[in-house]
Amino acid sequence: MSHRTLDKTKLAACLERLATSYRLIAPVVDRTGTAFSSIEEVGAVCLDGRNTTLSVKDVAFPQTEVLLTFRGDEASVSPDDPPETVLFGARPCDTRGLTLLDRLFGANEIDDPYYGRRRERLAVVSLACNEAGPSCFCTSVGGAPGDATGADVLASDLGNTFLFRAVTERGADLLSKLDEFTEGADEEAVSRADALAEGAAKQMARVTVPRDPQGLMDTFDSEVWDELALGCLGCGACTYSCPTCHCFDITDESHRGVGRRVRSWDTCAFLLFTRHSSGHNPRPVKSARLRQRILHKFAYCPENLGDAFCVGCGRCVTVCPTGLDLRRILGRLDEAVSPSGKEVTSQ
Amino acid sequence: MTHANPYAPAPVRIERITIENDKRDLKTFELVFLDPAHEEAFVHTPGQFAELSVLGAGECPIGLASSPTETGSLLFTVKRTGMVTNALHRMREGRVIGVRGPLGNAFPINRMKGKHLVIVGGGFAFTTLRALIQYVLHEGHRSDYGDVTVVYGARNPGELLYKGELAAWRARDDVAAHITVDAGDESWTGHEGFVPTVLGDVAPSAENAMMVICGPPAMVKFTLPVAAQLGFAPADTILSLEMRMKCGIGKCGRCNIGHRYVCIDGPVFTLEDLSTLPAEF
Repeated sequence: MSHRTLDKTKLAACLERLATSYRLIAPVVDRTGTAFSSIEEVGAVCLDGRNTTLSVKDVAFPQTEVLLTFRGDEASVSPDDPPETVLFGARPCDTRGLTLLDRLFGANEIDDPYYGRRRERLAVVSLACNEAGPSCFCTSVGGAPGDATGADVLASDLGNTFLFRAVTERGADLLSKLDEFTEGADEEAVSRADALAEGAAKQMARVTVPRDPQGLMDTFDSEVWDELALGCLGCGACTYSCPTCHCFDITDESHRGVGRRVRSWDTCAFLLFTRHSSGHNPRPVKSARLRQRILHKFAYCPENLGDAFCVGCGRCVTVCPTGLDLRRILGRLDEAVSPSGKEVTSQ
Repeated sequence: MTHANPYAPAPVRIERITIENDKRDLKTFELVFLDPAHEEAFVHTPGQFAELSVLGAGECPIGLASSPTETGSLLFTVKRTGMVTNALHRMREGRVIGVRGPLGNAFPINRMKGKHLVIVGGGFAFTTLRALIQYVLHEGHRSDYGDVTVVYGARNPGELLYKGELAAWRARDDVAAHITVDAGDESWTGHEGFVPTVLGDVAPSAENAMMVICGPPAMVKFTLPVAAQLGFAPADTILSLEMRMKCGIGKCGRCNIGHRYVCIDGPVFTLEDLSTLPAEF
């Protein structure tokens, strides 16, 4: 596949070209820090930050979306017709998160048409990380700062230039449309990019992640959950900022018989999430809800979808108002699973 | 590229509403598809459920009370409890609502073939058991199954569902229907007492038999030891679970028990299946 370099002075022209042929989504500065946004003015694109405050999952799985509209007893059901889109500058952890969501929304031979259409028309240019953030731990959960998983093009920041490596046919196609701005890349550029990503990997501390779903299930009735839940407010910030949390609600909004059925992000952290209309609640206490979040990611998803649903982006660590650190939770569970692990994690 | 849309409800007309109980909070809705293509595509098996959709109120999962042998319409018995069920209960015959399904697995009607069946129900959880009984007693299927014993109970005679069918079953000689109420009235001639007690008194043999249990949690809790005492193995003891649900297709992450989802891996589980899952339901 093709390797090209782009002089940064041509970045704006290059993005402009993309924005004329595609809907372009890239990080911009906003009140939360940085956020992925549809780009009208390419000068707003900000590629030098670390992770955006919210993940990219919203691009394929919006926080709120309309499933159908209705007037009286008549419903009109048509998933919207999303334009061909280029997602530019997603970090490798976020892109890998999309590949995990792909498994969920396509699982059990039931394709989710709303997610599926957006995903089909989405080309992803991942931007490798040259520097790890303080809460990053992608290397402990199967990712890496230069991971190309899920990307069509892997971009690397080499200072004055970007290196673009096509990963898929779609990526090669995309790069070919930018040929007038880019030049052929030499091996030196590739090895520099790889060295930068490896440098970022070395900045990350290793997190102990319990690998055995059955071992984790053995903690189900353990008091460790009560202890961990003491620090949890049940606010759900961790799940909303997570690139792989995907639980959703479906609700109707209407006024005088005219309205819409919407799907919106929901969270297992909330008391009402599982409460039956009878009042019975299978998860009536906070510890059960925290346990659900962790076991869903690290025991149930590996069992059902082949991998843990965590990409190590560290957002949940950063946003938690009480500093309940997922890395510490995982370490604590590892101790609970294998008592001998205590010495290792306390070093 | 095309995708079938699993979130699209099929429009159905409320053909008939039957008020089932004295409290009038249980109604059976007979629904007829507006589009014959939707009716043809809706192929269900006893034990499955569907999402009923009331535009403006939302959706809720309800077990199918009709057997696939009862063609031309679908039956759902709905207790008035939350937003959607209240909206449904306010509706009159003729209104159009939506159905999304059939969803979930079903009672193991093939594994049950050649076996004696003991069907134990309580309260308004009897709905999918009605579907199963109607299916098994249908002339096309009756010879596939051995003896059929039904133990069904409600608080009082006025709370019993499907009074017409109950009378019909009692009149047949190929089904033993034991109907019980916690407290009878002057006109009550059936059993009096709780379902687990009556089941113990009836004492059906576990030899080459399977038991299906649906009821309120307290009934199930006290029925399981009776089933075990009668000799029913966990693999031959079948339960149907309820959970709060939204999508019904294993995506929304709401109805799991451990790694299994009640909407796609259930709602029907054997006691053996359940013993491998955490007790979080």
